[in-house]
Amino acid sequence: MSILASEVVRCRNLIKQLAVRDLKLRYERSALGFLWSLLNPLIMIGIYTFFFSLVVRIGIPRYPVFLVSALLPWNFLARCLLSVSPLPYQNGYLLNRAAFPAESLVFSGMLSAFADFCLEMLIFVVLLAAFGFPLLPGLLILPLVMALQFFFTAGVALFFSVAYVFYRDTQYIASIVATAWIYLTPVFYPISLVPERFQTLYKLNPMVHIAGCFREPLYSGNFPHLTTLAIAAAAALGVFALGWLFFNKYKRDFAELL
Amino acid sequence: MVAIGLYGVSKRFRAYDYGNRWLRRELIELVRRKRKSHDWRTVLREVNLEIGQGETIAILGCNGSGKSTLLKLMAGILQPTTGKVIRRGSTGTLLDIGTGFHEDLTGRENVFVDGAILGLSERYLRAILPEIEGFAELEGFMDTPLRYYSSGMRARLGFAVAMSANPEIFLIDEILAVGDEGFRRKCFARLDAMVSRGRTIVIVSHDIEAVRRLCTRGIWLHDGIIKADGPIHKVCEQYLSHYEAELPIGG
Repeated sequence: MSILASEVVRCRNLIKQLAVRDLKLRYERSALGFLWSLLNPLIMIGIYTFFFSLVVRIGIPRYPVFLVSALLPWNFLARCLLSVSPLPYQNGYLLNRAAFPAESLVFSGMLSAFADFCLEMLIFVVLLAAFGFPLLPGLLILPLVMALQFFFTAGVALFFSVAYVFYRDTQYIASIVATAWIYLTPVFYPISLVPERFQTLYKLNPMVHIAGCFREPLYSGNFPHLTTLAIAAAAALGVFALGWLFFNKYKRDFAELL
Repeated sequence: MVAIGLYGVSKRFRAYDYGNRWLRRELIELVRRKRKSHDWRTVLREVNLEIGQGETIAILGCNGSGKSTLLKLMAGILQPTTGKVIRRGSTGTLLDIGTGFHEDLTGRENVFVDGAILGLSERYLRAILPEIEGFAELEGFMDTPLRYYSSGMRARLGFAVAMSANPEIFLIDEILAVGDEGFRRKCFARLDAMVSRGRTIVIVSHDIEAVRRLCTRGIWLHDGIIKADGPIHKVCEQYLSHYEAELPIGG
């Protein structure tokens, strides 16, 4: 693991430059830059709120807050799954012409997506504060939970980026996974609505626990349950380690395949 | 001292559509139990080669002889199928000009991204930015987005970034035909300066005149094996006379 870490340290400038390039291209060059990227979640929040609190009447007070507390981390995962993990495949010409570690492409894309995630989170927290929500437990635990989410997502993105290089149908599989995953994670509904007999199976999804770690402080104003936090941490680090090992097993072949 | 060593290096590629596979098809083949064994194409066969520190070497050969593959193995971009590649010293590559360039970024921004891909630090790039600007003859254009550059300007900028790396081992693939005569001369002067500082340079090129001027040793690669290895003039002669015999000019 330390060899792998040193590789990331070695190409930290490359990761940074690529992330900055991505952010610049997305935001600096279009006048409404960040506003555009906010528009999409805002519209989604509006539609989901209408659907789940007015049509389906799920019966959750302050539904927008309930929703957004899990939707923002979810969006980060979805972005990394759908647009970051194809990056090594899309940048095959780079991998074929310069000797640099392929994971820098994944990590730079993730950093750029993480910058969006942080900004969205910041706006959310500021809005909560403006509405007089008790923020202290949330603010204390949030950086840790976001770090866990980052590692978990990195593991998923590294795994899928290998799949993208090897199989052309990964794009279809990834979008199916993303669609199924959001409904199997308590984003729109509370975990208590899942029938008792499915609970054990349901909780095998690590995102259940990670989403819980976001929702507890941001919606209920409490510290997340220690067990939830521990499971989330173990899942995050485990998935990250697996993803990274998998990636490093196959990345030597990338230049040849692309 | 050996700067680059290749010992018993072979490289095979899977000949068709490897890396362009569909899981779907693989499943079908699995069900029908007729998994095709991939055809292999051997590009390099048992290549043994030692390049000493400070040598300037030209790799000659016709298209498809394995020159670029050899260079990519030396750079560590590709891994050998069998055998071992060793490399002592920082390695720079110029396999393509402006590899990491993006149309919408300015010349300056592109220097930082392209430089990072070549392994240069931000601090180093910042320090030598004026030099890059001067070498590429792009004073006053560094804040212009690349899409407004001419192809010559683009090539000069890419070349200037790669040259600024000043690596101990410099691997160059067929890019000496860049820019006008004046810029070409400047590039050769820069390469000469690297040679005199004891840098190791490996060039793949079809430009016999250029490599004769720059290199001391030549390697003729034919069908994945080294057909000749020796002083540049001798190898160039052998290489040319081979084609002369096959297809005499005017004959």
